[in-house]
Amino acid sequence: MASLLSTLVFLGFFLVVEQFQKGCSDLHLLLDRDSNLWLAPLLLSRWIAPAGNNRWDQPWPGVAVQPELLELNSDIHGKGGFPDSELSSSFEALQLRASRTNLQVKSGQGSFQPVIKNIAGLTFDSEQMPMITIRLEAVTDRPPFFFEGNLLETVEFFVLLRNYRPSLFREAR
Amino acid sequence: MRGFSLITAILVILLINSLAVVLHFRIIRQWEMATRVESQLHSFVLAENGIEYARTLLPHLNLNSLLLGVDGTFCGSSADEWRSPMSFAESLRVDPLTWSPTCDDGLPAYNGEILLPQGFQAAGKGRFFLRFSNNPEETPELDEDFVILVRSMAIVPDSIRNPFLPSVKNSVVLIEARFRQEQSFALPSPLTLFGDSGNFQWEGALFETEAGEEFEISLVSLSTSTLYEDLMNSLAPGQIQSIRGPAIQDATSLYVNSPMYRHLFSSEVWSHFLDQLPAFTDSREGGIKFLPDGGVLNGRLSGMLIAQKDLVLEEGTSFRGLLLHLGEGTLTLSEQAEVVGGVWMSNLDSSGVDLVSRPLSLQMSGNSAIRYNQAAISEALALVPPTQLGWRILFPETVR
Repeated sequence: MASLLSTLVFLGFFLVVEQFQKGCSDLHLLLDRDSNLWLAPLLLSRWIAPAGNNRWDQPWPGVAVQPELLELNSDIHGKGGFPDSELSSSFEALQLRASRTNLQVKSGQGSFQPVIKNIAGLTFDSEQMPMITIRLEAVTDRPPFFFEGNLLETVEFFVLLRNYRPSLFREAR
Repeated sequence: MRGFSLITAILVILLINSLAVVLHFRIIRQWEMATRVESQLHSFVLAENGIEYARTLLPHLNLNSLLLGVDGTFCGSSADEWRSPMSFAESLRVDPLTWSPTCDDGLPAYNGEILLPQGFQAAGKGRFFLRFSNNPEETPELDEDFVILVRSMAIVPDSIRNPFLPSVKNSVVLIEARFRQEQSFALPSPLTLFGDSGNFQWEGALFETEAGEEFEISLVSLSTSTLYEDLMNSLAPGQIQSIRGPAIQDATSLYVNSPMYRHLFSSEVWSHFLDQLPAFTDSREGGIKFLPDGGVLNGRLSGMLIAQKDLVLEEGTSFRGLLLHLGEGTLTLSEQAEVVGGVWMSNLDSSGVDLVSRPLSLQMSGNSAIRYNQAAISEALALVPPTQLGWRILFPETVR
């Protein structure tokens, strides 16, 4: 009788633990997805800001916006550590897109590499320049146990290109 | 049997406890990550605010005094990261509420007082600190090209205090901007004439150009010039003597050789300036005012006044600041009209590759005056926002 009771307690316990683990796993999925949604805007704003804050009449487009591709060129490095009016370093020219549920970045002449996973969509809108509207869609790594689908979550944010306008005095190139 | 139940109970309790501990650490870690992202974002915005503060302040600062600090001595540029308010290593551990700089070079100051001795505190406990330094193309302690770097460092102390987590670092963002404070119209004399010929009418004997110790009139020529002859021929013998002879200087070489002035010989600079000017005008009194069709002004005016075509300062009009008369038309100072500051005149065709000068036209009536006042010119120039030449985020690996 006692051994049967113990077996039942064990079975019941492991059933509860399994459900608890599944719940934790679902929670983990959601936290992962949400941390991507927190991290991606920070990364994007950090990459966009130097390109959108440099002088407007530089000989390259600082920020080139396409619906699903963002091109960023910023002179942030050069000889002696200071900008040198050239996009010589690979990280001075970036392209961003979402592909195969990854946020991908192309640096210089390289190829697109995944940076943040589970980014299902990334769209850019330049209608309100000098403000770029960015829409980001994040999904969970796999379907959760207690919910249906990939729990798509969308965040929309704006990046202001602060100095993206002409200066009163033209700068010599 | 009792022993088996006890062991089972202990195992269950251990399992539940270990699950609770794992869950606790996971939640703490996620919380830490979320907080760190938030404080990173906060410090990023705070550092940007520092750059905007510097941009607003810069037109009102004397750059060479700024580089030396309020003590007037330069601390040197040998230390690593001397251009930054503090080193990255220090900023990660420092308490921003109590930190104070050891060297005052490049700290924003006005009238001998440091403006933000302990940084600027924004919402929460975050602060930004600023330091200006000369651009690397020049010597660190002497600015001649009016280009300057400013670094804004934002420090947000970490808000997580958990006995299970090791001591964490501040969130730090360092942004550098490169500005040029525009001084092209820092005039060397009360009346500066930029051109090759002119038509001048001096009515009556009591008009004045009052320069103090400076030259009364500066002439800047683009090519072969008859400006001096035109000027001298227009003056009658009985007219005031103070604008004759040595009171007139040929400032062409000064303008050609100065990094501050020389770009005024470029047609692109002028066409760009005139194209962009409407976007920079200000309707309030004392701002930048642009009159593309000239006009008739009266009363008391101030600021920066830029006019084309015929401009008349009516009788008794008093203008304080910088008056730029550009293009065709005549600048007329009627009786008892007065400009305190300086007057610039040019009539340029900037549509082609080369700048082409056309005749200037000035008419000064009796008792009118142009009184040189550097303070008034500086006040007007402070209305022009600095030109931003560059902007970048610096990381510990890239900072110099």
